[in-house]
Amino acid sequence: MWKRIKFWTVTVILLALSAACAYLYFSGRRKAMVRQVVDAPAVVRQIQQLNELVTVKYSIQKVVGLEEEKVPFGSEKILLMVQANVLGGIDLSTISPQDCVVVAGKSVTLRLPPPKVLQVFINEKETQVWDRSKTWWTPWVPFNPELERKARLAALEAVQAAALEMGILNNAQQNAEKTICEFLNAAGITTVHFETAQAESSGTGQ
Amino acid sequence: MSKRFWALGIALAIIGVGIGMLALFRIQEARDFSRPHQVRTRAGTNFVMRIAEISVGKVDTGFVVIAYLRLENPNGFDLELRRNRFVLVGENRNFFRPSRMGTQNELIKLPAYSVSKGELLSYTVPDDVIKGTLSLRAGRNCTITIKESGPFGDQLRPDEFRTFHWPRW
Repeated sequence: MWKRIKFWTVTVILLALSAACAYLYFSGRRKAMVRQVVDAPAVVRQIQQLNELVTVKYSIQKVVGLEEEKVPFGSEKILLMVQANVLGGIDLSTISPQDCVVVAGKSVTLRLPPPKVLQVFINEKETQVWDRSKTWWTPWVPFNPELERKARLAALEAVQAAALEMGILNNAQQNAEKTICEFLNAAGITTVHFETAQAESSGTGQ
Repeated sequence: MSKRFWALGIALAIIGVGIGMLALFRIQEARDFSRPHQVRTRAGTNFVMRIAEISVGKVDTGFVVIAYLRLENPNGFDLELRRNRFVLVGENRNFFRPSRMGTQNELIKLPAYSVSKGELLSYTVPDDVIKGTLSLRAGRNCTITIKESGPFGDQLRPDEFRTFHWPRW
């Protein structure tokens, strides 16, 4: 009789202990989970850290001519073959909390600044002067040492105009949306909608 | 025979005087174009602006006008000028702000009693604007005509630029 009572008592105690351990294990795991809170200022802070986000690079080659009219007569010409790189992107440092709306902690609507050409620079290795001349009947006119520099500046303008014509801003916008989408997905946001000053677009990142 | 020489001499003298007068006219025109202008900013500070030359070129999106400026700060304190305050004004009151290529800062900094000889401002304008008068407006009181009214641009090929020292182009 005592043996039976002992057996059942030990069994009940062991079962109670096992149940208590199981309860503590599962309830402890639940409590250890960190709940992520997504709010607009936090999202904006994260995006602002990206600063001037370069999302596209165009490499353009041009032949640019510059003719300088001399005072009182004559002219000097230079012909430059230029290779330049144009970087397009978005300046995210200007984004403010008003540009960001968070819905239910999972979906974000973001108003992006318009894309722009962030930098244009000449590739010196691939750039060279092709021709340089002045009017033959004004031999007294000296060559202008500044002419090549001015031709380079003019070339930068021509290259920038070509990049704009080729659609660098559209590319910059699309790539920026893709990059920000991936960035926010990694932060736990599932859906991102974009608005821009020029046009409105929408993108969903899963 | 000698009469012929006389006639040739007189003709050459007339041509020489004509060319000389034309040269003097163009020199004077260039001097007028690049004479100093006193500019007052919106805050009331004065500085001196002089247009060295104007380059104009045909590009894919229209025309580019580049103004090379000489800026002088006669004050005993540093001066910061916003690039956006230098506005190109077209004939039909079209306003154009200077374009930026990333290499040009928004602020033009002039230390006290200093001269900046190589400041440049570039503007992209559409084809129809280049046919009319163009002026550069700076500060509250200064407007300088950089191009007189008249057709221009047909003689330029794409990516070709030309530099002028007078407003007649």
